[in-house]
Amino acid sequence: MEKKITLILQNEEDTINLGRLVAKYVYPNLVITLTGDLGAGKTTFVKGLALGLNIKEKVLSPTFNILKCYFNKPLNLYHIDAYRLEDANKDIGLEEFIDGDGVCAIEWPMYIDEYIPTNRLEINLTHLNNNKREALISSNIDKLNDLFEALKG
Amino acid sequence: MSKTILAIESSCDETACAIIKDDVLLCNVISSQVDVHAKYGGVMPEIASRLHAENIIPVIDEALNKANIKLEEVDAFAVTRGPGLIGALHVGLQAAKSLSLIYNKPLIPVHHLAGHIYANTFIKPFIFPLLAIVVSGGNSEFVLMKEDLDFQIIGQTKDDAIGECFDKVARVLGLPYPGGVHIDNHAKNGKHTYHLPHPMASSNYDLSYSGLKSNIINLVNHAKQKNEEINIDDLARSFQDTACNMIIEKVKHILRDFDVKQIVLAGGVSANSYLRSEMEKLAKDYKKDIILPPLWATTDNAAMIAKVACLLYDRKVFANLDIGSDPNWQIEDYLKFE
Amino acid sequence: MYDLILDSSNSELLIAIAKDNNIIDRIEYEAWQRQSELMTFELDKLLKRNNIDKKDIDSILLPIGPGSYTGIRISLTIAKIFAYALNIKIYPFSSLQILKTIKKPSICLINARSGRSYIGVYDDENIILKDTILKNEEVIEYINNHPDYDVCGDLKYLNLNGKTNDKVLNMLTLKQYIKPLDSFHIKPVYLKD
Repeated sequence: MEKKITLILQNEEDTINLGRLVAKYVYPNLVITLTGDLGAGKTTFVKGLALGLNIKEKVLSPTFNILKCYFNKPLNLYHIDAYRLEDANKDIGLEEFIDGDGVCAIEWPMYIDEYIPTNRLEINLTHLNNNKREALISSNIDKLNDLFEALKG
Repeated sequence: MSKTILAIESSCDETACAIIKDDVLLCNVISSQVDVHAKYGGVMPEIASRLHAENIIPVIDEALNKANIKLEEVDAFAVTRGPGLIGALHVGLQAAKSLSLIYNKPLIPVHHLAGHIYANTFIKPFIFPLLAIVVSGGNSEFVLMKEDLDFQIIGQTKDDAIGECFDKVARVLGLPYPGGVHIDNHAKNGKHTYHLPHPMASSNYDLSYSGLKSNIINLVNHAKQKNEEINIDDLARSFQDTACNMIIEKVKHILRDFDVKQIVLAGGVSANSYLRSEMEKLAKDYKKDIILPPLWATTDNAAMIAKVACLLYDRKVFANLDIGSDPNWQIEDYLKFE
Repeated sequence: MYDLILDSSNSELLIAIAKDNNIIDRIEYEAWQRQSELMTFELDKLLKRNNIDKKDIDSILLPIGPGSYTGIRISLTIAKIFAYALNIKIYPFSSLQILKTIKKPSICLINARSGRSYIGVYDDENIILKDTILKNEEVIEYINNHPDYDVCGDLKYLNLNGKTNDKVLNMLTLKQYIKPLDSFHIKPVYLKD
């Protein structure tokens, strides 16, 4: 059953904290899709996710590299930015990371939709005024019900 | 100490091999994939990796022929271990490891940005303490060096690298890849007429480019919606000025706060004509020595990797065969690779 | 004198040494995302513990795809350097064909992810279905239509029990049918394009 929740993020720190919170509920093979305009905070969210997973490396935008891997115990984080794959050949071996052993965060997922499972955690970020953002979070994965409970609080 | 070092570089879209013997560069072979990636508007990592796998043997073969050296004569095999594109790095690493294994010679892991910094020593020697300004597609950092192979990052980008910003802005302006060169050219014909905000001045030496990037993207989108013309030359100029001025301002802070005798530029964006001329002016004003890398050294090559490897060889910085590549390798950790 | 066998075309690391079609020694284990670190290290170990001089390696055998793009390139690069330095040849194999059962038509499968499989159907050296990609539903259909064929490979992703055969033995027996290539001319099989 699909669960949805909308949150207001007051500033960058809220976005990072959202990532940290989600990190408590992730598991191997989970795909998180991140949509929203440039500057909406997609990579900032992943920064928070990484912090929550205890990853020490700095998280930078993977637009240039398309895929960045953070090998980490107990859970690997794969950060994909499909922005540059809009008009390009998408067959570049990403499946191993999307359908892999870690949690996979994907920005601009619409450009590689055929590789992404329908069961996913979707986060959409929109600019409000100033530094505020609206986060629309939804998922049809039952395993994540606890996350939605936690988000309500 | 007499030594022959063969270095392999495959961190991005150039497969390269160079040989230095007794501190003389015997050859610097590069197989560039830039044209291939141009049609994708940027480097496609999987394509880069495939091309590296195809080019690695011909590139090594050509290097050995040009240098008139046999593999048996090589004293150590050096390779870029990171940072870079993960799949691309793997190819160079396997090649260097295999050579090290076959000829039973040391394997030297080299940091790609250390390579760019040391590329400057092909021009003239370092004068310590120096400030290295590392500006490329994947990195933007200020590195203080008190002596050889001593790297201290005192400031870096909090989000995008300046080179990536150049590439993204070029894309938004409809300019081909690699964007930096085209922006530089357009800027020469333009005037700084677009007001682009600097990010909030901070007291430290960090940089931030994502705001500038978003600003330009919004500007171009709004103009498109209103059917207004964008003056590409002027916008290129305004962007370039703003992006480079951010670095110049931070460097001024650094020169006030630190003892620096020499300024060194490193990385792809150090080819930018405005950045080069402004840095030269700055060095003159502040009475500092400066090295601007020759244009061939601003793009990826193995000669710079071999340069660093020579220093590492003397210090016996060798790796075991079970070393892996590190696409996120930080320069301060250049001795940490287990 | 020796054949050197390498495989990192999937999630495994496999290195073996053979002489006159006899497997002398091997190292084989799960090493997903770690082949780049470990292949040469384990290769060195294998050669040393059997006192094998690299100069005595006559040829290299390895699967060149389909499979993990990164994995294939790791073994292939090692093979190319060895072939270049020692002036020897490389025997390229289909990573599907080497999964087959000896003397029995075999449906050979590798997980291509995103609901698809790499599939090749072989009867020893004879190709019944050339290596290709199919949707998993099509694969199940094929299997059901050929109940007399063995189904080979790691098939947990299809919730099936696949037959596991010795890849090294398969490469050694198929070698006679393969045209060897030098380090300049060998290319991987990526298949998806």
